[in-house]
Amino acid sequence: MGGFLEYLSLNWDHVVELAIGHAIVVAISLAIDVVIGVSLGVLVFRRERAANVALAITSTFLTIPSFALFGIFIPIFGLGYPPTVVALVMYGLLPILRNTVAGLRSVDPAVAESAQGMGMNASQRLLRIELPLAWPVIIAGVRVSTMLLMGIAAIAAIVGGPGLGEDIFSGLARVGSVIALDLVLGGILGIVVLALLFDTFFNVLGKLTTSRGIRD
Amino acid sequence: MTEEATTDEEQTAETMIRLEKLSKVFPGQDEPAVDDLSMDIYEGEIVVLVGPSGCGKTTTMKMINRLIEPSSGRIFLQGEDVTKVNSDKLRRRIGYVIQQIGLFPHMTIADNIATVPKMLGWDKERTSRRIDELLETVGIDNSYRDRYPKELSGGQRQRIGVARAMAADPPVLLMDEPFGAIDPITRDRLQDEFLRLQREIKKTIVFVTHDIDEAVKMGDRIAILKQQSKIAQYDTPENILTDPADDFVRDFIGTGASIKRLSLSTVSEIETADWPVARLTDSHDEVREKMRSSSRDHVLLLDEQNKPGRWVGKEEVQQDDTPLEESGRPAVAIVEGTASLYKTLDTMITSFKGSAIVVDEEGRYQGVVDFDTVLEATNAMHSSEEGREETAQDLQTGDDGR
Repeated sequence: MGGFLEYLSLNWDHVVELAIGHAIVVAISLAIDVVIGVSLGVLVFRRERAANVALAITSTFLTIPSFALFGIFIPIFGLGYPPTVVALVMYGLLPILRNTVAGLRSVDPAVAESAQGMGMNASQRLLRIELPLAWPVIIAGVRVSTMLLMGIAAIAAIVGGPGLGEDIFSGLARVGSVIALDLVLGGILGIVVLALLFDTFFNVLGKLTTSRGIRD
Repeated sequence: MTEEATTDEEQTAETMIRLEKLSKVFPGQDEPAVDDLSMDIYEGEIVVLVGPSGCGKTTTMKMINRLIEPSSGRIFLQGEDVTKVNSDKLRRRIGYVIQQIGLFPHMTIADNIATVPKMLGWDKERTSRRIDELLETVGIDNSYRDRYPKELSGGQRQRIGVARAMAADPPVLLMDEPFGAIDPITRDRLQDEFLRLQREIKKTIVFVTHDIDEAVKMGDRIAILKQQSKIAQYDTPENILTDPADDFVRDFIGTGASIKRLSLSTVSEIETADWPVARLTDSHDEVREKMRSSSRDHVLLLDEQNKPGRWVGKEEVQQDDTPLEESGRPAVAIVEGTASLYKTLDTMITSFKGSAIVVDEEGRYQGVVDFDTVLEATNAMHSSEEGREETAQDLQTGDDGR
């Protein structure tokens, strides 16, 4: 254990640099997921069949082995950020879409009817009533996607993507040598810490942006 | 009220809502839900649409603010054809209250009430003043402004729902079973409150219910609807209860039409009985004297503010060592002058000696009514009905016998 700490202190800058890359690529992918997931959710939540199709497609994305998906993307998107972000966006879509649909559908019909009865048009109802009420559920979906992407982003190292996967893969390539375990442990620890930071961030964000009237 | 006077009023009252040959056929259904309905609703009256479930009463109401678009026919609001105007803008001119109220849970009470004023572009100060005003009108303390709906009781939510519907002072309110989801005791109180409020605000109100008792209590006029919103009878509660148009109406009113009529008259309209009254501060001798000079065997004692205190009987008042404040029994069967005869009778039944004490709104003694006085009054009502046609004729010939 003393050896690992010594490794960390000697390679701190390197690990932090990889962690920042990891955080950035996950953050970009999540941002795209929120935009696509929430918009898609808004479009389909009233249409039973469209919602089922959208959910089926995004579930299918999740079943594709990540190693294979990253590999397939090399000829299409090359190396580095592009294939990484595209793959991560695909993996992170389902929880956000599903929770957006569930959240919007959970809005009390009486509330929606009274909003309409008072003369709110469709976009006012969506922005002032339906999305704010669905928001806690949507944020919960974002948190699940975050956890998912943190782990999968490590695999992006095989397409030259940024992140802590680089150390994990180079450690695994040198199994048997002294430094192998330190490299892998460093990568894993970095991802766990990042995941906790992101989760805390979204937890606090969720609390701050959810009305006191619908908080438990 | 005589026939003549009613006709006069109808001629002067402005038509607020006119439904003209309104029909609704829902997609995929052969039978229309509402078939060729025409009716006029005058300014300032409460019209209750009542009928069995599935008769189309809610559909009819929702066509007025076009939450349900009519398949054919026309809707006029204040003389303007609103059948084709922008429906969102139309709804901002019509207050809307539903059974589940549907307050926005993520908004404060103030923001809930401000919904329509905000859409109409009112400035902050005007909106805020209006919120103060409405909270006072519906009897909710101003400290509730920044609270959320979940912190309110069912009755309070209902009041906020009414306040929200009235926020931009719309001339018309649509109410779909607004007291339906509230416990019977609170419901009764809210109905009374709302009727009191309506006397001030004089809105035109379309009220939907399946409960004939509520309809009789709330309505200036009642439209009893059959399937497909066909009007079986559209008239005042008095006329519907005394003179049902057909068997459908008779069945719908059910048994006890006479009892229901009792809810249409207030206790202040009848003569009080002659009961001896003394003061709690009087001496025993004075009380005994009062009792002797009347034929009754009980005296009602009042406190300094003229509020009913205790009933004392013949034997009890003989015991000089018991102070008057402790003799006899407390006076509990008390009704306000605005209480209906129905409520008064209900109070009497559970009371001592079958009598009820009538007080004013400050709780001061006005008189005592008992079974005999109520019976006399109802008998008088029936005989006046029988003589009504005659009276109307007299009026027409200008020979006013009274």
